[in-house]
Amino acid sequence: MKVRTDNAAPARRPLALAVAAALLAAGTAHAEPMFQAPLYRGTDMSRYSDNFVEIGGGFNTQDSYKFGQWTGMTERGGYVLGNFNYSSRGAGDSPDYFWANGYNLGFDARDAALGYTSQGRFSVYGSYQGMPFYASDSTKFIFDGLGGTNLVARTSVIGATANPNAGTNPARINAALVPFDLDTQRDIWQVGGKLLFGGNFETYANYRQDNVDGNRLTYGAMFATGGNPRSNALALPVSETTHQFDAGLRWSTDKAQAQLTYWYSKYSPDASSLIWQNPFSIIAGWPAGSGYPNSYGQMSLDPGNTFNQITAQGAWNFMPGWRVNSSLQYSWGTQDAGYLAYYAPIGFAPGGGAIRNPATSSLDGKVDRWLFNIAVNGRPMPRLTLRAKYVYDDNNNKTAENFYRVVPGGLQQAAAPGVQNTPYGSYTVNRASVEADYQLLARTLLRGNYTYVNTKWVDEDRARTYDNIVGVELRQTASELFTGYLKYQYWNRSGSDFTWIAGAPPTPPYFLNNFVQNRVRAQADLGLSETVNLTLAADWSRRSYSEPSSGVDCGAQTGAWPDGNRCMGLQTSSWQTYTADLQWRPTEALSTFVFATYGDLSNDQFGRQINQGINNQNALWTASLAQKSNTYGLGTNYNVATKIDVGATYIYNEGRTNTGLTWGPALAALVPAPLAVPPSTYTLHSFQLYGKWAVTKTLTLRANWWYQKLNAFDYAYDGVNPWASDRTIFAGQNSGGYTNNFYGISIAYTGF
Amino acid sequence: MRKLWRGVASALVASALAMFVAAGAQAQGAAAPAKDLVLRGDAKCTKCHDQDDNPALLDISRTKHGVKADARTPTCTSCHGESESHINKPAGAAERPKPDRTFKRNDTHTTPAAQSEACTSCHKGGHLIQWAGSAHERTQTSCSSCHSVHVAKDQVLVRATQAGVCYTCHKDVRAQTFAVSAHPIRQGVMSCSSCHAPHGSLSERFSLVKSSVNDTCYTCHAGKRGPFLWPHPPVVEDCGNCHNPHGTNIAPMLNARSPYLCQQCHIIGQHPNVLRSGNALPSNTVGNLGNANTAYLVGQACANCHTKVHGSNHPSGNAFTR
Repeated sequence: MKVRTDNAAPARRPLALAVAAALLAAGTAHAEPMFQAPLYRGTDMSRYSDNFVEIGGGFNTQDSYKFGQWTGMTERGGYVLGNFNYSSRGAGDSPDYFWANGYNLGFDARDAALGYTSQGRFSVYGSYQGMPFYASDSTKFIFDGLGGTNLVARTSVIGATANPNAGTNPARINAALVPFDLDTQRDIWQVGGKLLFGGNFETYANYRQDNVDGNRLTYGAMFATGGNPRSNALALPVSETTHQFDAGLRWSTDKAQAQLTYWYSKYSPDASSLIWQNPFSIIAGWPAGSGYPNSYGQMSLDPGNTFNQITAQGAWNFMPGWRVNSSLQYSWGTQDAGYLAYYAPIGFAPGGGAIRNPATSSLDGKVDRWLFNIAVNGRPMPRLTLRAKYVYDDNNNKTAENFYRVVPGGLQQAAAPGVQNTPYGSYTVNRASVEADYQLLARTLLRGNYTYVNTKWVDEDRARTYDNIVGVELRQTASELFTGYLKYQYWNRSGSDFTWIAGAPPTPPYFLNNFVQNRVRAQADLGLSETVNLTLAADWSRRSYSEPSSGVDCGAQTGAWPDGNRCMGLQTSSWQTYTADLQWRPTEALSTFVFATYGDLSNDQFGRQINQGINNQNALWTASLAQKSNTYGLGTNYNVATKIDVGATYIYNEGRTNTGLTWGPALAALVPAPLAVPPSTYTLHSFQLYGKWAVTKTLTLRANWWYQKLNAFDYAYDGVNPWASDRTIFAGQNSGGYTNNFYGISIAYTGF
Repeated sequence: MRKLWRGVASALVASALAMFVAAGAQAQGAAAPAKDLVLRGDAKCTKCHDQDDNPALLDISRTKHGVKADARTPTCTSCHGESESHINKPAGAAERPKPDRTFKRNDTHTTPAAQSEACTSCHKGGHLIQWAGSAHERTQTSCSSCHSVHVAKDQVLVRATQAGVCYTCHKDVRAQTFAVSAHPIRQGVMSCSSCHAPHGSLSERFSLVKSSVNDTCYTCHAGKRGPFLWPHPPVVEDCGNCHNPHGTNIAPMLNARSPYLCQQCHIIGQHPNVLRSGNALPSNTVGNLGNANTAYLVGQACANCHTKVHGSNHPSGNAFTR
């Protein structure tokens, strides 16, 4: 009789057997990660031992922010590979153990955690995770002070005109550009613990702190209202902290459970604004003295806020086969950061007379929400399962409404009494749903469900929406030969009249508008043989927005072209994905997979041009946006011998975003005439070859080659020089194509 | 001769004694109760199932379920049932019957609900309080469809490998995470459970860790919570109105590209209603110098000026430019 009950090095049983055992124990659902963990994740030592320490090195062949966007592998050169895992859990006779682990220690995306557990009594833990995000390494700006909150335009930008692409200004801008990489680093620290007491009680508490530092891309506009706006790219400094605390008390018995939880969040930015010097010289329409160097723009950064949420939940198995659960949640959030002044306090005397500051020094914003639900699940007959649920969701933005003498672009304040703020985000939802499952055959289920949602909107463009959702489903379960489902859902939204904007074509916001949606989903898992499994999956949906039933005649707006009787805005939204996935395990030592997925997310919309002296049905235009993607994967893992694993994975992903435009004759006559927009495309090739060799009982060597190539073109960035517009100075970044190889080798020790 | 007989007699006695002792020892061995190996009361199972089992059932000793000192930990029959016919193969049975309850995806022997009942008989509260009626419960996804109880490192509990478990069913999401703009799931920096609560939650859609889409997003993007002096209605309603968090072709995970995304709602006076076409591309202009429409189509398009689309707290920010 052989048994291993601790974390010591495994008994010397054949490795192939151990591997197969681990795989089979895991079940086919996750016999092997579909994608080999990236190289920096290090050796998957779970097959060998729980405890290990791994050290090694890798070499990245090219600089590329995009290759290492989320990991930090952005520069050519060497990287340390470091991972460890330790648990002192003993032979099962002690409930007390200490654990610690660390992964990717040589990268920005490193994480580490440790904890102590007295199982059945209490546990405590602490952890750290780094989360970098490299946004661009090709951005350039025309400012000094980059990385700070006060950006000063470089004098060489200034020309005789505020048109960036006129005369010698492109050269001036080019000479002034300062390369500045954009990236942020999020550091997440967490501590927490839980305590079990009284047999049925558990209490827990967690604290999490996110620190984010770095820079993002933004733009700043000068004199954006009143005509002749100008804008330029800016590096937006990010320095913020979010504190989150959650705690709860749980009670559980065989028949009933309850818990009371609390969540607190506090967002604290270090800075409240970004100030930049207007780099443009004065143009017609701007106040005297408002060109460089006398005027500044000031942008507010996200203000600090706090949020609290208390939730009580309970569940009760009130009779065999029947369960009721219910919850009541109350949330409240506040935001009371001090207002910025209307102008940056530097040098600019605005037009429009005396500036009135806001009536209050801060918003005193408040939002609260009540959420209640109750659900009953039961089985009145052996073949029949019923579910019913009611939800009440009431969200109130209680922020005060006032008039603000806004000065949108720093040009002229709004006429008295000013512009009134609207505290959007208030709604009341009543949702009721019922569902019935009937067991047609031993393994065949027929399901039907219906949901009704009545939403009362406050301050929105319509006061009510009504959603009716009906679904039917046929599901085959628990069969080695075939499992799968076929679902159909019909969703209809209607509502009250819209409040339209005077003088504009009726354009109902799509998130409030009437629509009819049909969705079909199907999936089949086919056990073709004992070693081959094929999965086919499809998801097709189409949502068609329609003219509201009353309150407007959109047909009068659009006429017969191109498809009469439609309002403006989004007309249809559809998506579809299809997947074929084959897994083949001819032997316990060899596993392979191959898959292909096609995806398409499409939107069709109407617009009508009503400026440039045109305001008729011949100025209609349409845009059809389609995001298409193809993803293919192929991989294998082979236990060559008792001590060696090898594997390879190849992933191909391509994306294509098409923008199809059509326009009426009034627009065709414009100069310049409309032209097609080219597609934005990218292709990703990712190949990994890896191997592990158990050199000795306690030493494992791992080698890995990772090749990745990205080709990308986006018309919004590639080929767009900073001076390419007559009113905006761009950052000039590119899409970040790359070809990278990463070679790594590491050794892991498991003898503890 | 006497010595010979004495020798033979001695040998016979010794042999008899040895046989007696051996028989006694054998009898004693047969009568001795089997010892538990890794779990309390596992002896009736471990008399057959040992370390060389395939799969390695005894590796449960390396898990939390194997900590005998914790009085709550189960034994084999807690989950698999008493399994009398499996332990004592009925006479005449061609094959040994399976245990009363087995755990395997697409198991024909034990229904998914029965598999899950083995777990929910203990795991009732906490994260499981909303299990009944949850998306996974309704789709007859059993606990063991995702969790591996007998291995020390359950892949679905490890951030780097969790998504691979979820992709067993959610294959469309697997493809989306390879999009050029996506949350870092395939890099192992985030996991599906960063946003989703697979055991059910208070959210009405997507089984999220918080009770709404926005509250879930605010766990990392708290600065977007506000409330702002000038809020943007689709933002406060649902981040998903503009973003697809699994990934899209358009950064930052947008459902459509600006300006067209914005023009799905904003066909009003001044510039928002204007068709922005390829004539605005620098590549279509002399010297790549663009024209009056260029700023509305390239770069961040509408957000070249209206940068504060998530809401502004500046007294002059009603157009999201401040």
